[in-house]
Amino acid sequence: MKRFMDDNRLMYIVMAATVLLVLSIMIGFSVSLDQDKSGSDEAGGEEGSYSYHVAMVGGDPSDVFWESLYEEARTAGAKVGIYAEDFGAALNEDYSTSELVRMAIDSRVDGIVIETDATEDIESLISQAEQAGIPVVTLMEDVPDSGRISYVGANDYTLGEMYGQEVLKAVEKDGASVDVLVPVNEEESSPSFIYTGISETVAQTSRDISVSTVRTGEDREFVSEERVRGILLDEENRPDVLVCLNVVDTISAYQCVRDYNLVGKVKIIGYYSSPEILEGIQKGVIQSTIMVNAQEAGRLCMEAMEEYLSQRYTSEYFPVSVELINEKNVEDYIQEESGE
Amino acid sequence: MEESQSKSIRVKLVEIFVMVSITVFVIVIFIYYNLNRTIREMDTVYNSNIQFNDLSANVSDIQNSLYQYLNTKSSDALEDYYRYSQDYQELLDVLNQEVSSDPAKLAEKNIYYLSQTYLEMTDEAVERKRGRDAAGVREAYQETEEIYGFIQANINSINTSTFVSNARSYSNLRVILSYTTGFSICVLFAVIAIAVGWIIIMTRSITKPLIELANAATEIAQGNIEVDFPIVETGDEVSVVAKACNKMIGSIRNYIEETKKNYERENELAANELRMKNDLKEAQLKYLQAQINPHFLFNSLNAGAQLAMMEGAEKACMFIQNMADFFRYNVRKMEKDVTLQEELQLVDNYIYILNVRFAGDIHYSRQINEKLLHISMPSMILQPIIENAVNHGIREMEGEGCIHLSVFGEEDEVCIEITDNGVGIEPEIAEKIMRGENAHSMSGRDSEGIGLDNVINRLRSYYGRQHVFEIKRRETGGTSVTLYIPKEGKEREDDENTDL
Repeated sequence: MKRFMDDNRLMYIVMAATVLLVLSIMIGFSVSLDQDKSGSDEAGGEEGSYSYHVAMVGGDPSDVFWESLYEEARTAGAKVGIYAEDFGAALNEDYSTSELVRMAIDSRVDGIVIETDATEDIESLISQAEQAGIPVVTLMEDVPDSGRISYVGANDYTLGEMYGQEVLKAVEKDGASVDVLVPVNEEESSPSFIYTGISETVAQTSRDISVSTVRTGEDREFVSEERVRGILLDEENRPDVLVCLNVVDTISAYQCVRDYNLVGKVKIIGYYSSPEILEGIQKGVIQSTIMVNAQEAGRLCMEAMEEYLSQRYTSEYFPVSVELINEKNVEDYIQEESGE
Repeated sequence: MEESQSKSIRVKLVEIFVMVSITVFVIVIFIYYNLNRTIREMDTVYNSNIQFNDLSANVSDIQNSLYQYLNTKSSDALEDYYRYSQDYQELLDVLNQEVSSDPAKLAEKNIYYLSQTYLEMTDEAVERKRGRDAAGVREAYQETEEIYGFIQANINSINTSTFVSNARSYSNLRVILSYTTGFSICVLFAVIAIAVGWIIIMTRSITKPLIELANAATEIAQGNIEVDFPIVETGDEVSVVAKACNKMIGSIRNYIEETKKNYERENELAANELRMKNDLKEAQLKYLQAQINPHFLFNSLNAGAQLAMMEGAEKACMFIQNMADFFRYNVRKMEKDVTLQEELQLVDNYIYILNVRFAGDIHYSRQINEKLLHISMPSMILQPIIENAVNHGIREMEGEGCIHLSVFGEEDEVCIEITDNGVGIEPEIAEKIMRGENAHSMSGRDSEGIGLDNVINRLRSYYGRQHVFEIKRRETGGTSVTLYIPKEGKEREDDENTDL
C-alpha cells in the first residue's frame, strides 16, 4: 500500500509542479509582454518635475538657429524646473506669431519667450500678457516700450557694425552696391538697428558704397529663394555684396550664386552657421558669416525667466555673444562643433 | 479494508479525471484571462481619441448654443449652453493640468486652460447679452470664436498625434495578441500531452495487477496448482479479488490434500482387511486339514463320553468330554469374538488333553485377575501359544515342564503372560518372530497348530496397533510370551470388527 501511495503522491507532486511551472511561464510571459507594452508607451519623453511652463514663440521650426536655441533652452529650463514648449510646433495648422502669443496667453502659461519683429500688434499682446500676469521675454529683437521683463539678444547695433566691417572688406571698388536682406514685414515699425549699424559704418569710410535693404519677411515661406534669385539675376541692379540676416536667406543666396555661376561676382555675408553655410565658407562662396550664439541665447532666456518667476525681478538685458566665421577660422569652428 | 475502499478503482479514476480536468481548466481560464485582457486593452487603445473627439464635439456644441443664444436669446439655447458647459467642464477635469515634458500631456494642459479661458469668455458674452450690450457681445463673441478655434486646433493636433501613437500601440497589441495566442496553444498542447501521459501511467497501474491476475489464473488453469495469485497492494478491488482468489486456491489445495489422505487411508484399510481375511482363511484351512470334520468328531466324542459313563469309566469319560469341548470350541468360536474366560477354558481343555496324552508331564498353573475375565478378544489366540510352548519348550527338555499363565491389568491394557521352563527361545529367533519373518519356517516344522505369525497378525489387525505381542527368553530359563490387549479393545472391536 505504501509503495502505491508513494507512487501516487509522486505523480500528484509531478503534476502540481508541472501546473505551477506552466502557470509561472505564462505569468512571466505576460509580464514581459506588459513590460514591452509599457516600454513602448513611455517612449514619449523624459519625465521630470517641472513647476513652470514657458511658451517659446517665434522662429521657423526648420530654422537651425531656432532649433539649437530651443534645444538649449529646454535643457537649461529643465535644470531649474521650467518646461520650455516650442509653442505651436505640435499644432497641425500654422499660426502667426501673434496668434500663437494670444494662444499662449489664453492657455495661461507661466511665461512667454518671443522672437519676432517688433510690431504694434506684438506690443499690445505683450501688454495683455503682462495684465494676465504672464512675464514675457523678447529674444533677438527687442520690443522696448512694451511690458516685457527682459530682452535677450545681441546688440543689434554692434551686430550692424560687424556686418559693416565685413561689407567694407568685401567691397573692392568704389560705386559698389550692397543689398541687405532684412527678414521683416513691410509694416515693421522700427528700422532695423542692424541696418543702421551697417550703413553708418559704411558711411564713416566716405567710400562710394550704396547700401539698400530688401525685405524678405512677407509671406514667410518659400519666397526667400525667389527673392534672392530675383535680385541676383537682375543684371542691371545686381549688388556686389549681399548681406543676409537670417539662415534661410543665407542658404538661398549660397545656392543661387552656385546655380547661376555668380561666384566672384557677388559676395555673400551670411548669418549663423549651418552645414551648408560652413561648406559655402570653405568653398569661398560665402565670405563670412556672423554667428549669434544660439545656445547662449536659449540658456539666457531660461535664466531670465527663472530669475523673474522666482524673484519677480530680472535684468532688462542679457547680451548674447557674437562671433565671426570666415575662411580663416572655419576649420577650427567645424572641429569645435564636431568635438562637442 | 476501509483504506482499500477509500482508494478503490472508481475513486482513483475519479481522482485522475478530476485532477486532469482541473489542471486543464485552470490553464484554459488563465489563457482566456490573458487573451481577454489583451483584447480589452486593444479595445481601450483608441479611448483617448474618443475622449478628444467628445471634447471637440462638446466645445462645438457650446459654441453653437452660445451663437444661438446670442443671436435669438432663446432660453432653450441658454439651457443647452449651460448643460454643455457643465458636461464640458466634467470632460475637462479628466485632462492633465500639470506641467509635463510629455507633449501629449502638455497639450492636454494647454487645452484645459484654453478651455477655462474660453468658458470665462463665453460666460462674459452671456452676461453682456443679458446686459443688452450689443457691441460688447460682438467683441466677446469674436474672442470666444478665436479661442474656440485655438481649442479645436489643439484638439485636432493632439488627436492626430495620439492617433499615431495609439495606432502604434494597437499594432503592438496585435503582435502581443498573436504571440499570446500561439504561446497559449503551445502550452495547452503541452499540458494535454502531460495529462494524457499521466492518465496512461495511472490506468496502467490499475490494469497491471489485473493482467498479472489473469496470467496467474491461466497458469493455474494449465495445472500448476502451486502458483499463488500475485497480491499487488494497490488497495483497490483488484487486491481484494487477488486475496479472494488466493484463499480459494488455498482451500482447493487443502481439499485435494485431504482427498489424497482419505484415499490412502482407505487403501490401507482395504489391504488390512484382505490380509486379515487371508490369515483367517489360512487358520481355517489348517484346522480343516487337521480336523476333517469337527462336527462329526465332536458328536462322535460326545457319544464316546456317554458310552464311557455308562460303562463306568470315569477318566475316559472325562477325557473324551474335554476332547469334545475342545473341538466344540473350535467349531463354534472360530469366527467370533470370545471372552478371555472362554479362551482360558480352551487352554484348560487343551492342557488336560495333553496331560492325558503325555501322562501328566505338564504342570500348568495360572494366576488370574477375575475382574478381567470378561474382556473380549479374537478366538484361538492362547491355545497356539500354549501349543508352541509345549512343542518347542517343554517337549525338548528333560524333567518336568511347567507352564504358568497369569492375567493382570496395567494402566490401560490387560497383560496375558505365558511362561514355561523349557529350553528357551534363541533371542535372534524371538526377534524374527516379533518382526513376523520366521513364522513360516516354524509353522512348517510343526504343521499341526496355528503359527505364531498368524496369531500376531490377527492380534495386530484386531487391535489396530503393533505392540500386542512380546516373546523373549527368560533369565531363569524358558520362554516368556506376553500379550498386551487394550482394555478399550471392546469398543474398537464394535467399530471395526464387523468383517472379522
